[in-house]
Amino acid sequence: MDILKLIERVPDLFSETNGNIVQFVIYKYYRDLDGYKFPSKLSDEELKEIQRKVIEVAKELPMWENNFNIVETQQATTELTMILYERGILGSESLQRRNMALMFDESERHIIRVNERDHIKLIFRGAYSEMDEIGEESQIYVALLDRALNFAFKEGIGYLTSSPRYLGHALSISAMIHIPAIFLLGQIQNFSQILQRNLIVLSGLMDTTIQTYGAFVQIKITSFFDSFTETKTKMASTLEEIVELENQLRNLIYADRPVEVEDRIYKSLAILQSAKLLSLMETYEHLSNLRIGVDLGYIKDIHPGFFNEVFFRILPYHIKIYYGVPEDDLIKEAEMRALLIQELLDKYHYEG
Amino acid sequence: MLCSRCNKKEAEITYKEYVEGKKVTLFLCRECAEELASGIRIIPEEEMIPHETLIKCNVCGTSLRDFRNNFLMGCPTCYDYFLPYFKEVFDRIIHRSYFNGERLKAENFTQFVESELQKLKQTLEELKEREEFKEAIKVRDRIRKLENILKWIS
Repeated sequence: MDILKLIERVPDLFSETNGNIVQFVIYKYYRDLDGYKFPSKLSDEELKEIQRKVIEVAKELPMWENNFNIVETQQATTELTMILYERGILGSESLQRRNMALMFDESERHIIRVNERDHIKLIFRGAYSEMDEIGEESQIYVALLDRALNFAFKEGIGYLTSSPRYLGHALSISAMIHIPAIFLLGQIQNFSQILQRNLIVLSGLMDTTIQTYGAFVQIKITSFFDSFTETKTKMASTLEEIVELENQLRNLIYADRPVEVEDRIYKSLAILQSAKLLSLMETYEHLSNLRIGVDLGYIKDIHPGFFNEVFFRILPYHIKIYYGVPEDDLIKEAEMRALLIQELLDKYHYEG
Repeated sequence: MLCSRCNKKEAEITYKEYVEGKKVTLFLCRECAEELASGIRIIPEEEMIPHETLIKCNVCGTSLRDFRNNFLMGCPTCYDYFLPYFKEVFDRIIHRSYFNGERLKAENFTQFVESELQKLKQTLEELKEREEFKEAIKVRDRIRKLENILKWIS
């Protein structure tokens, strides 16, 4: 696999490029084959058998459209592993797993992890506007796999997985959201209440352990005895509430504190345009401010596609590998990040 | 420290109660604590540990204690052994401990895919008429995908 091409690739997740609060949604299905112990209790031989069995069936699924990669994590280089991890293709849990394999397509919308905590984790990602469509389609693919592999299932309990948190439909739904106004106006308590009402929690961004980048937050709901429709309805209504709250607050800021907001936006733009060193956290913070500037129409000459491309490319291993920065050279990494941002700002500059 | 009630045996248990609205803390030996707690026998830890490790799944060997430690089952059969211990907890936290949904079956989606296809084909014609070719390509690709799925289902 050409690792530099992978780094340069803008995944198909962010198909909506303008004015987004919900960036994208992720459906994850946890499944285990009937008649086998869960991965932590299996020998290397048994894990290999599961891997072979799953890949043989999964590669025929129509969702790939004859375009997919298979990576056996034990044979992957550290560089590839870290890039896949930062892009959420590989999870933080996967890093310590034995005989694990990954299948994913170029759009990075469909991912199958074999032998993580469960035999199979099927991941479907896409834009918020496609939430219903992806939900329906993903169920069909899971059902097709079940027909060929026979998943462990028990009436009254649901799909049997290694963690009882996923009992029921054995599903989790996550959403990446951008909520600068909620942060700016200190409305975190209101935001938390919305989440608590539906047992929704904050989760690590893109399966990492980091919970926020600037005002980018990922939230997650697990089925826990619920059906697909129940789980999805809870997430969809929560997202609607969050969008409404964020929009109300954006209007409030726009009306009441325009100078303060404008100041933040233009300071961030100036820093991104001319800084010589940019750490990851400060970059996300400035990107978040810039994003709200574009969303609210203050900045008209940056194409929103900029945010899509920049999202993964500024991550530490993406920078280190692309520019050949030594592992522990944080200064060089920050320098290259600043350079990259400036190159991308030029690339996406247009006459509004 | 000696039991603050009988003053004879070593105190093992911290006993707290409210007397006339004030919290009173006593350090008691096992016998005095049991007597005060209305005859409830307090199980010593050494008796409790084997109990949890003895409840084991006969397929993968995971014990109830292993499960309590990491909240992970070892195999599908573990659910028969351990789930009853947690039903009450689930009921309390999420107000349910049963699943009334169904197993996903590909055949059940035939109708959905067919109706989607019908809608998309109509949209494609409209887009072509309006010469919105960029959108039309997207719709055409989705039609192909759904036709492929339909082939698989059947």
